[in-house]
Amino acid sequence: MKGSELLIFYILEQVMFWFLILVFNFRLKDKGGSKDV
Amino acid sequence: MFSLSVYIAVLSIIGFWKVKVIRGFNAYFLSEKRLGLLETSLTLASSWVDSAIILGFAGYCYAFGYDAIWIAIPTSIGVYTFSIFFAGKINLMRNGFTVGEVIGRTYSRRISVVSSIFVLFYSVALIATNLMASGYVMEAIFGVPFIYGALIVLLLTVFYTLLGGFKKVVETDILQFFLIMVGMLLVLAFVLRNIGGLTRLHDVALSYSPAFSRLDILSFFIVFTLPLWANPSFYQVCSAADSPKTARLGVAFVGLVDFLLTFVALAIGLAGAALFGTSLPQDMVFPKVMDAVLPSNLKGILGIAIISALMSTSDSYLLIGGGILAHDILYPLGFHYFDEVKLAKLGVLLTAVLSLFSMFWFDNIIDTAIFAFSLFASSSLIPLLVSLNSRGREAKDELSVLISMAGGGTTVILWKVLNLGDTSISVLYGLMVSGTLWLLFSVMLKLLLAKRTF
Repeated sequence: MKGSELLIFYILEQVMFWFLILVFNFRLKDKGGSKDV
Repeated sequence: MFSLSVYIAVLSIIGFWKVKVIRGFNAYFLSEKRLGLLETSLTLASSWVDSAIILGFAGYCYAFGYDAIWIAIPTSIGVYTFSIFFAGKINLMRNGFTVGEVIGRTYSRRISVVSSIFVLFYSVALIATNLMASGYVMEAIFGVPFIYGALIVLLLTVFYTLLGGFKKVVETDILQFFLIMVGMLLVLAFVLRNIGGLTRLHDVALSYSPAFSRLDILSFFIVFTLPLWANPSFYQVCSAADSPKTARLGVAFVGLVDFLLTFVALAIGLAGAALFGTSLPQDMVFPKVMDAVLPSNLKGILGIAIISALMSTSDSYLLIGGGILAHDILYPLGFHYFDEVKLAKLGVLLTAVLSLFSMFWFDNIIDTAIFAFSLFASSSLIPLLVSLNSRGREAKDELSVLISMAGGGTTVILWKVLNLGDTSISVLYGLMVSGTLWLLFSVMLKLLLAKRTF
């Protein structure tokens, strides 16, 4: 992998993990909400 | 001489500011108050920002250009997976505040003592990296010879760690975190202004040729991911957090801080290459660049901010080292001549002496960190993962675990002592040895037990 590709890969990896972490930590609330409907 | 004494005075003030009388072992090692999200995140981040991130990684970027990201990727995977899989679990465990405690939930005392000895080595090596870094910064910015600089910082840190406790460390950590972040961003701004912006740095980066083989990259993914699952400061702070969610988000915040600092280190490393060519020793790059780009009135202040960040990591690990020696090694082994707090203080002193000696044994900061991580991964990863995933029931394959830990740890130590090759790949062999021994002996023990039953 070339240097600049590596840089882009690193940034994408961060975005993916933050997506996972936000989903993982805040999904319980969403589940509670959908039950009422 | 005058400037040296001024700096010692300033450092002493930073030290005294942390002083707190210790009342009991738990108060010394854990704050009685539960930490909220802000405190958890900032304490974790402040302990995270250490010599390896500030000086070591900048030096690595200087030596390898964009290829240094091969270290940043596994590091962030380690931090984020810890946040997702382990931070919440550790928070829910009662007394999960050291790796030894967690392993002791599943295995006998003997195994937790052996793993604690390896965690102690890990802490000692990490303190050594911070001492090296302090020495380099003292030399480049204040003109104090390397060894005196490191000694002054060690003595001050030991002094207030003996008097202070975890709670005070948390309070000062928050301030230190802001100091160091502002400091790093200032250095970044001056680097960009003096060197000629991002495009110039990018051009410098493109002049590097690929540095690592596939084997190197594979071992980076082991060395910089797995040992983070055993990071002592993560365990300590996650168990002090007020909820599993706080612990998880706090660790994730560390990932974000590390991401930002990676870019600062990259800019500084590349600026080093633009300014000084390729002749500098890796660990001198950050102090030299700082010395070259900052105006002289800022240099002293930023030097102090960086040394205080290094001290803040050293004090956490001195505390952890001393605590482990007392709580997880000497006390369980029946060494009851002193009470635990006195023993922990003795442990702090011993940890400090060991760190001072180990400082001369390594080539540079990243090398030392890689050794510490490898040693830990090769010895304790198997029992730790089993313990984190078990529901507290007694494991039966004690002997095989003990042999695999000793085998893996010894492999990494022998690799370094006998100088068999790059430190970075020793973890591959260490894990291979410990994994093979574990499987071999578990199967053998199972066969033996089966024979006895029938």
